[in-house]
This record gives sequence, C-alpha cells and structure tokens, in this order.
Amino acid sequence: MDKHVKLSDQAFIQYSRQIMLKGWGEQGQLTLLNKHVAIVGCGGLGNVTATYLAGAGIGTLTLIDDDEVELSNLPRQFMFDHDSIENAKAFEVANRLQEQHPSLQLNQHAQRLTRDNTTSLLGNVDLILDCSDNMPTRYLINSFCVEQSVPLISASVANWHGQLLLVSPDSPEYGCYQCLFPQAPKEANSCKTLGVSGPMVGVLGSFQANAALRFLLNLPSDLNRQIHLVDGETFSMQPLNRQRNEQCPVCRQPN
Amino acid sequence: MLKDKPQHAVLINNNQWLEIEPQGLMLSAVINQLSLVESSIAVAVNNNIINKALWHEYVLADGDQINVFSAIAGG
Repeated sequence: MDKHVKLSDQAFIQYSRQIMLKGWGEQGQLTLLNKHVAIVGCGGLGNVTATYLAGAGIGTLTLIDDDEVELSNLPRQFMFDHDSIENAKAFEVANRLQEQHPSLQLNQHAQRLTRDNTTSLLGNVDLILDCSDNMPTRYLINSFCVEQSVPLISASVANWHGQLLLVSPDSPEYGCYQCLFPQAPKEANSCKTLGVSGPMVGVLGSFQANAALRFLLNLPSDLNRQIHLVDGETFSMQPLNRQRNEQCPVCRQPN
Repeated sequence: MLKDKPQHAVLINNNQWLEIEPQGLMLSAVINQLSLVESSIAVAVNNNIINKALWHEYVLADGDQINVFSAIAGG
C-alpha cells in the first residue's frame, strides 16, 4: 500500500471532529491512515474495536477469528444478525467494514491463531488488540508480542467486569500479561461460564479502541504501567500499578 | 454496603474488612485465610501489584487495601 502523505479534502471533512482534538491534528490523521492494526477475536470486543478503528481512519486492519456466529452472540455483537448465524465472524466483520469504508485495507482470516501461524498472520502490524475469549490464545498473543516487540492492548470482559492493559515494548519494566497472570484459572472466566452484560462489552471495547488510537497517535497514557479493573456494578475503574515479574517465563531478562 | 472498619483490619476488594493483629499480617496469610487458589490470582496492595514471590514477606498494615482478582478471558 502506498503511504498516505496528504489528506484529501473529503477525508479532512470526514475526520474533522477528531482532527480537532488536541494532539491529533491533520498529521495524526495521516499517521492513522498509514497504520496497520490486528484484531484477534471478532466477537463482542472485536465488533466494537473494529468499528471504531475503521471509523477513525486506520489504514489496514487484520481480523482473525475461527468462530462462527451463534444465536447467543446477537445481544452484544451488533455487526451480526440472524442471517449471519453459522457464518465466519472474521468474514462477517470484514464484509460489514468494507461496505462502510471502501478504502479500508482488510485481511481476514477465519482460522484459529496457533504457534505455527502467528508470524504469518501477525507479522508487519503496528499494534495487536487482544479481543479473544480464551486464555491459551491470550498467552500466545502475549508471547508473540514480547518476542517480536509488538505493542499489545489486551481487554477482556465477563459478567459485569472487565480488564484493560497495554504491554509496550518501550516499557518492559512494567511487565507483560503473563507477569500479571502467571497461570490461567482452572475454570475460565469467560462469557460462556459467567455470562456477560452486553453494555460492559461495549465499555471495554470502547476503552480498548480509545487506548489504541491514543497509542498510535503517541498521546500520553499510563496504560502501559497499569491494569484497569472496570466494574459495571459500581460504575468504577480502578488502575493498579504493574511491575515485571522476575519469574515470568515470557519476559524475564536473560541471566 | 461496606460495614464500619474494625480497629485493626485490611480491606479486601473494596467490599469486606478482614481483621488483623495490631502488629500486622503477612500477605500470604491473608490469601490462605481467604482460601484462594494461589496459582491463578493477581494481588495488589494499595493499588500496587505484588508479585507472588513477595507475598510471604509482605507485611500488611492496618487500613491497607487489597485487591485479589484472576484473569478474565471473555471477549
């Protein structure tokens, strides 16, 4: 893809309300048009992040999900309808985005992320958003990001609660996802096991997309050194300060 | 609703007081007392994550706020 060096008049008008924001500007918009973001998981969080990032003018999105749309997804996964059921989520999201944003570059993969395909599917991206629904995939993405020095924004949600953090190769002293969670819980804390409030998926996905835009625009944030616990019962957000875990098998320093 | 704080206590997950001895209590002892599965939880004291290797030497003081949580996988 050719690098965007100037905004067209139409693009300037289309993105004018965000270009107005402090620290964004025309240059920021050009930056976004030249960025490539991968979204792993095209369910609830993926629907939200893909919608907002495409809308904000990200140049290229890679979408990865091996799941098909199920009836129980519809209350919170608003890009799907009854006609989508049994279709691949990655293709459904890509089709919807392409209709809305004809100039958006898309790579869609209806396959599960594995150790064998991670490099081919996630190579050459500027940022990865973990929107997946299981711990093995979360650990796999984290390892890849640490090994390849790719920034990662991880969000998750179940029940009335969510978690949000950024793992940045520029600040390894705050550790990675596995520093924080060395082992997965025996019983997965997922929407399938705990249920989920649809609006909380929207809240976490929106924060994740907002974090992605601020990161790509190089705007200040403390997300690289914190995990935010988001509580939909008390309507509160609690930032907790992270640190590298010297025992972490993923990111500990070689002796 | 959160009850009144006992004389010597730490706050667990913003919703429960746990009484401690005046001289303090090890973080690892609190985790044992709460019957939590150590391997899969993260713990923060006063908004700072404490890595597991330090739980047995971290002495909690009256009024400390403890968050205990595990990874959420859902997306």
